[in-house]
Amino acid sequence: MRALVIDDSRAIRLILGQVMKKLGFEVVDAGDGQEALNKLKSDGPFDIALVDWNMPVMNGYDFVVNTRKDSQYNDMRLMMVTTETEMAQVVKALEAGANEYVMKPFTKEMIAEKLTLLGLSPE
Amino acid sequence: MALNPGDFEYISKIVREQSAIVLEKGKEYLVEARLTPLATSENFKSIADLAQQMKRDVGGKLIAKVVEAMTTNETSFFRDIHPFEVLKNTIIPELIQKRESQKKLSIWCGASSSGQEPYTLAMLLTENFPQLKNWKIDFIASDISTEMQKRCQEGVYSQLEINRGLPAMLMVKYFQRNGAQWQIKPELRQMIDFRILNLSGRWPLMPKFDLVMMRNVLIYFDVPTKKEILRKVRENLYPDGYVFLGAAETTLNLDDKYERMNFKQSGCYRIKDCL
Amino acid sequence: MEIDYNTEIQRYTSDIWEQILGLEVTPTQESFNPAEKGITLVGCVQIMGSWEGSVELLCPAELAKKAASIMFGTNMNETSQEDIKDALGELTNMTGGNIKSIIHDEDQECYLSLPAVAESDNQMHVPGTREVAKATFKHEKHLFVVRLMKKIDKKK
Repeated sequence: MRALVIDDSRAIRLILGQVMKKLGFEVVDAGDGQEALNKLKSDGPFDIALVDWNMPVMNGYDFVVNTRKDSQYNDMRLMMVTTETEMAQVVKALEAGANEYVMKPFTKEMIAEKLTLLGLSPE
Repeated sequence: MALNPGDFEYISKIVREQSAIVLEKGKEYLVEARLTPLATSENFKSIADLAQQMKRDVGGKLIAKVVEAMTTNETSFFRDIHPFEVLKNTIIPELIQKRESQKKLSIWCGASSSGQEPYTLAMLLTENFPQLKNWKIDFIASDISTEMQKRCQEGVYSQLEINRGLPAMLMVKYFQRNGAQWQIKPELRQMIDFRILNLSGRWPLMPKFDLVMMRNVLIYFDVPTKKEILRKVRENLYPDGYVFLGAAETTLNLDDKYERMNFKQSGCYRIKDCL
Repeated sequence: MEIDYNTEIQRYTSDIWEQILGLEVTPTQESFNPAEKGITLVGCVQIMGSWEGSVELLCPAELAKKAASIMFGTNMNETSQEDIKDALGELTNMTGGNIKSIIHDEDQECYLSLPAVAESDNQMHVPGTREVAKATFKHEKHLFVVRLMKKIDKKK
């Protein structure tokens, strides 16, 4: 399985990338929403994208909106991993087409449990 | 990390003195599983080193951490997922069919801890079986701790807890934000009767149940107590009811009147010859 | 409901340092005095919208370096300035994002800026703001501070 990790912090890309690798994913990363869209174009759909919200160039919310416009990414799961924790933001992301939501700070267990909910079980 | 018999004995003694939890022989795996992360984070090379330091732990700080690691319940919403899938896809539909004429269901969560399991079940019922709205649902959730019972009734969770295993869609629907905390909405809280009950003590008079959740709690008891609990669960169960144990738990060699049902990783049991 | 910002800042900060870095940090009454402790860094995120202000994380460079080395999985002596800025920026972002969620009315929108990190002489002062909450934390020998600053409403 392949995961796209999108966060403007290199540290978070590294940590999330390691978590996903340990859970058996092949990982590609991107530092903002636009770079992530480019990676989708060049690499094709992923099984899941882990998406930060606040990023330069294009934020994670706009990335979700853009990705959901294109039917070839219909099966790709989108999971927000963000420090935006208001209920209204969660609703907004889900309505735009995000499948799951993790509020930072996160742990490996949280990510693993959410992947299980999405049918991307590590086992 | 491996554990030698002397250290196991010592750690069990300390834990028993401080928490009344019995770790008899055969629970070495539990001690290893719970203390390896602690030993690593406290920079010990082994559990043996950790035990050595415990003996010199005058202030009791390390001992307190060990006891906490041995007693805290690792828990999340939809914990282990499989039992809830079995409940949703098979068990609850079956029970609804069987109880159609009475329109009555009774459920007991026997170790509700901080409430994630009963609330998961309440969300699962509300979300997937709207017809139950007109049924009489007796839903009891019990725990040994008064503090936990109070927590359950309030249904308040921190961000870290809400992040664990709860589908975002359900969080949005069944929780409300209360400052930095997240609280289960009243309609779900009112579904459940939270009580205090010591599984290894005398049980109060209870109704018969269609469904009993008794997951990941038997590990804390010695064999005679496990047998006693399983027997009493049986006596409180309708002959065609169901019991869920933890995925790694079994009635084998404890109570031969149960049979395990053939669902993957779900720990679902019923009484033999129930049909 | 009246929210005690200090308590929430303490809880969020402890959670972030524990979950992301595995470091135990405890609130302390000691006062942070950066002048005598070498270089201090400050991470800052602005909050804009229905509530305006900023969240600052003041942190000794040595502690920021430790945090970066944990996040990047590197040795302390091979941790670069860029790593430190990134790590402190993200810690500030998480702190700010969590605090943002409790300070504004639910029906109004609030936005978080990207984090900025700079060296501080501790007297870093954003004009037109006042401190509404401040919590000092201790990790081993290090102290660090989280401050919530609110823009002064000129209309009043």
